[in-house]
Amino acid sequence: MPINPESGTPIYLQIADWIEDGILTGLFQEDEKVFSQYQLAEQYRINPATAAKGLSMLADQGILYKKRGLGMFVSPDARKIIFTRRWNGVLQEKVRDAITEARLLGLTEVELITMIREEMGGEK
Amino acid sequence: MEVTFQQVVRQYGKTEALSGLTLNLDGDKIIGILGRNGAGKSTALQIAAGHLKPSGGKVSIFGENPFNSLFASANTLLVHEGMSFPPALRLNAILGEMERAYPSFDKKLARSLLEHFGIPDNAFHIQLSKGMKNTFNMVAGIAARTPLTMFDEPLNGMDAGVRSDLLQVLLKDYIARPRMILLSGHQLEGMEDLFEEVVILHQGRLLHHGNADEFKEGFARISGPASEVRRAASKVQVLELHETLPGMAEAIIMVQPGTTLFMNEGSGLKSTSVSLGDAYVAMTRKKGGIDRVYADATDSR
Repeated sequence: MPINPESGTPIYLQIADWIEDGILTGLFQEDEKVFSQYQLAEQYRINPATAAKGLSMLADQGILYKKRGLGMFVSPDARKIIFTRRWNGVLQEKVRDAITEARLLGLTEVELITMIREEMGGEK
Repeated sequence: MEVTFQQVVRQYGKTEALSGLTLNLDGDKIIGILGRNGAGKSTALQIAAGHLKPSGGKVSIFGENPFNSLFASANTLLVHEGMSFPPALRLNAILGEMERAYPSFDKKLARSLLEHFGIPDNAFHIQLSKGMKNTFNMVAGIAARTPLTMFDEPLNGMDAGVRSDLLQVLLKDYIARPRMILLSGHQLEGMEDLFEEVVILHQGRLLHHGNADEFKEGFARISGPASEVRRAASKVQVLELHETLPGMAEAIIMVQPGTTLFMNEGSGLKSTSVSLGDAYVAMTRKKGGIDRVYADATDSR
């Protein structure tokens, strides 16, 4: 994942998002260890405290759990928690954006739904 | 506190480089010391290293006054462009002397790094180009591993590739052996993501000291149609606002951490983050009243 310091998202959130993506795609499995703050710091050339902030944010949400002296692990509920939050938040927001844009262009509901259907069919 | 400045003043003739600097630094952290030219960064570092005596106020490093202190000179190192070494010594001999002076000096690391950067260890320091001199100095500073290591504008004159490699080595060595590292600069050149804390000096005084991530989150850049930018900016603290193209504008604004910026849907406004360099430059801009900015920024905490 390239860290983008110019994007509107703070770096620790980008780190957290990247680990979440990794959990959703299966790169990090349940009860498996994720990267340490030091590995993340070296990989993305950021301060270890910044990387730790991203990890502890995920731990606060119950996505990761800490084993003392061993590091951070993916909690069994991780996928569910990420899925729920993104479904309610991120995806809903994007749908709203799409509706705003469609209204601006004068598209009807049917036209927008057709478009979504075509896109989803096209991806398979 | 490892490093404390209490109302420190330093005059050079009639000019005052530091006008009552008060600062407390603690912990094995990488700390950015930022400020414009003439803000007092180099003077503050030279005082911390014991190279300069303050004209007034109190300084202590690990509990001792650094001026004329052997304890301070064994435990601190200031890397800067004007570093001078005995002219009769070749680089390899300089490294040998540093090994004797600093108990934690890693000569093997220094030699491998010099080889990597193509600096012959039988050269004399004065023969090196500006970029190579700074590379040698920084290598020596990293390898010294002193509990307090300070780098004043370390990357000047270096190739982008060398800069990037040196920052990577600095980070790796810091992770392996945590210590307090102060990095100063007015051009940050890739250092900014390494900072855990930032200190901003302005006109010889402390303007801001705090966590680097939180500091960056306190700013945003909004851009889009000028009328929309002005409307959004009217509700917040604006550090800078200028037209980019006819009818288009860009503003750097201060935002309360954790709040989302209110922007009308379909207004065409875009919000992006502000780099540390742009943030401190906007904060220390002369017109627009820095005093007001500072007062507002600190009142809200």
